[in-house]
Amino acid sequence: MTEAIFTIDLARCTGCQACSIACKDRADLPDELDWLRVEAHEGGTYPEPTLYYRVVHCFHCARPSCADACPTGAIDRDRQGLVQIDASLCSACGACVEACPFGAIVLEPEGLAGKCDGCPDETSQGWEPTCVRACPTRALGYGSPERDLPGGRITDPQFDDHGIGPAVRYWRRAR
Amino acid sequence: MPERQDKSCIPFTCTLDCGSRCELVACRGEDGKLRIDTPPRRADTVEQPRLVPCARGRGQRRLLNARERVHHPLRRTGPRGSGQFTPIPWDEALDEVASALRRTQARYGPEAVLHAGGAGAISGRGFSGAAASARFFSHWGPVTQTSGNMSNHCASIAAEWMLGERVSGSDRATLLDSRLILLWGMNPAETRMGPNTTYFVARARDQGAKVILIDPRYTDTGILADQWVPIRPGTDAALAAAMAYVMETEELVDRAFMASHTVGYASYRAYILGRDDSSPKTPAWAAERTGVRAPTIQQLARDYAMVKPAALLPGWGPQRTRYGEQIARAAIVLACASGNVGLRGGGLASVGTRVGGIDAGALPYGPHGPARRISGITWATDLLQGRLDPSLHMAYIVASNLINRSPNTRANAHALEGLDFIVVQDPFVTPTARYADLILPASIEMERPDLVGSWGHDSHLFYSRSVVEPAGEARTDYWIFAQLAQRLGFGPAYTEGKDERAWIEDYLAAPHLDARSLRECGLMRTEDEPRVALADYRADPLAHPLPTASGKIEIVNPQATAHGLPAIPSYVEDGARDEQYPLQLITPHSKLRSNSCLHANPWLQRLEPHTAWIHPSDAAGRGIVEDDPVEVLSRYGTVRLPAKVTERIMPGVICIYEGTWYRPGRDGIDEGGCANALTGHETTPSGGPATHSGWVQVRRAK
Repeated sequence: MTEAIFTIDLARCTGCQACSIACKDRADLPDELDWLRVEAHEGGTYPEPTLYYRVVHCFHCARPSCADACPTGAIDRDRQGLVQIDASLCSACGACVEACPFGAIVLEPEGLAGKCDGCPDETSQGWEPTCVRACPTRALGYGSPERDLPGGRITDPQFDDHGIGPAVRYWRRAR
Repeated sequence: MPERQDKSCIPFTCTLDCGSRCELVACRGEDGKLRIDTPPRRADTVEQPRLVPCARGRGQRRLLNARERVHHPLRRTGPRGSGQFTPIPWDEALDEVASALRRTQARYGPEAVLHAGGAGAISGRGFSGAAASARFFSHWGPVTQTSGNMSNHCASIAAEWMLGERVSGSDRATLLDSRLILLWGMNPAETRMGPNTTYFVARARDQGAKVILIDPRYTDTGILADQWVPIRPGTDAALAAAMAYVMETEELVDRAFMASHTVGYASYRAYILGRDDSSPKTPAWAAERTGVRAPTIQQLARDYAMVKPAALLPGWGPQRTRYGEQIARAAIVLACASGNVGLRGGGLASVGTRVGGIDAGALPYGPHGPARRISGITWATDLLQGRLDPSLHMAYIVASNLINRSPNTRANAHALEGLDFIVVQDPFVTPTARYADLILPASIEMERPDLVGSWGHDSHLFYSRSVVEPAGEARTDYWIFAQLAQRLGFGPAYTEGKDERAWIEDYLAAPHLDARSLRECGLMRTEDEPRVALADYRADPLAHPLPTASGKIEIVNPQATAHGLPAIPSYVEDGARDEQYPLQLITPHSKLRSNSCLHANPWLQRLEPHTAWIHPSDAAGRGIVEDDPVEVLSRYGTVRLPAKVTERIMPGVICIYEGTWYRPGRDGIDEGGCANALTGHETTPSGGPATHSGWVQVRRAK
């Protein structure tokens, strides 16, 4: 199976939080924890302020730094290329939380590390992951990395991939 | 035929008064837990886009066990407002309410009972709190009822005066044909106003449409716009006049359309050219008032008149100002002058695009109308100042956070304190419920069935199923009123022997309804073409006259002069400015609530701190930096909350999202940051809300 990537169109994401709430509901997380967060980035000067929202979750990196950091070998990529945490091996040491440059891993109340699992239960049925289906502006996508960029978009050059091959592309409007 | 849903999933819809109606399912997972989803198999095409719910709808599961849920009937044990209650059995609570109604009726007549049915869970065909209570009181007797339109009063009245009909917008799908989209005080990224409004705006922009946002704030919608035009709140009619001036003087007005389809333009033309007051409404004239630079006004006018088709979508913020009628009317004149009326991709201002979706049955009313209607805006001052004769002695408040949702919250609370008996029927202990003598625990939408029409931007019908049993001893609004009706001797008249399901089964038997789709998928959609408002009228005004006196679009409105407004939609300056309160306050809707609903949902409320937006130049002069606790003061009250110092708001303007819950401290200062603790009871001349015309001062909290 071709490994899929997440695409996030910054020119369409209005920060509505539908994806983060949908993810939280599916993952059944406590109030204060999220597997997916929506970061607001404000800048510029009146009357030309800038604003964009960046959706952040586990990007299922090709060379995941969390897996390297895990002392018990609990983190590995599965057959679909999704990075998964084996709860039976997790010692809840928090090393992965520190190691992830995207801040995408959280320690859950039971003490175990948790993060976006890529919704394998949904993608295996041919559906898009929960966050993608939750997006009212259709800013989020999941599919082949060979997919063409939509018209008028460039891949965001400001996104730092930390050299670990995150399976995500952020798109911006080409100016 | 939509695809059948999984057996483990129950279709329902979110019935909040948010401007949209979306498709949800509740699915029981292998772990036995309930989760909310959109139907995963539903295809998503441009012609039949998914009705994707927002965070408000997706987060509803958290309401089932929210801390503020009422689980039992509660009787007050402390002073009003203290929030001290003790649980009592249902029978005792219902007996007490029935005897309070009887007692009030016997002593003072039914008029002494105020029925305030709110928008907490509106749009239920039959079983929302508002609908179930309206049926109840129509059988019980002629009570006093709150009335008035807190949302779009001025937009509605403008459309009625000028077009003869309220709902006159084009379907959102027609935005795909627009080459210019003017979002004038319109913020669909946060207020939605149609499940796919942002989607169509974004798609239209990707196809090359230019999108312009006119707003005192750079809202989240700014992300979808090519240009932001900040404007001083309440001055929109001045901008419109100057745009019309540019169009007029540069020969950009569609004169043929004005001549054949409108009456009264000559008066407005004389106004903008300054023939009547020797003050031409030039871009420079408007710049002084609006804060929009003159060249920008010129460009806006040229763009709007020349790039066709152009959709002018006014939000409801600009018309919730002191003279909100004027911008609501002026926006229609601009659509006419630019020749965009009846054009696919063009269109004109409206409060909606469809009337109530697909027609279905609704609970019928009994013999009594209300004895009188009092203003939902000014009711508290009317009561406190003795302007209600006979006065009120009891309030029955259903699905309404009455003190929070009406302007001047402190006065509202004070007005309630003076009543003999207050019943609040609500799923939550709202700030209003804290003043109740009895709280009756009502179910939330997921806990009751309903047949629900789309909100006004689509033509759909939803069969929203009861997903779970009501929490604790909560019961549906219909059940509660059926029990009361039984005690008051008209049980059979109220229920006709039916529970909610039996009523719905009766409705579903109507031949024009696709009962199978509704039962299996919870949704019936019409496949008709997107509506282009007034297309028939554009094509042939004589064959399709409008329901106005002239049959045409009327620019001079005698109805306006009856309210002391100019006959034409000229700019009227808000003279309420007060040296003590030099900053303008706007109180828009938040993406994390629907008015004050969902304040009790911590999943949503934690996503953004509740703040007062202030421009760096206003903050600096007051020694305020980001996150500082500040006090915002008006003539009506003071609220305390953190500051958000941001370049996204115009200097001189403060923004506090409405809908957080009022929580007065011992010093009387509202720690809840309730925007209505700062707004007053002044209305627009025709009685609309003016909650974006506040004047405030801001200072660092001590």
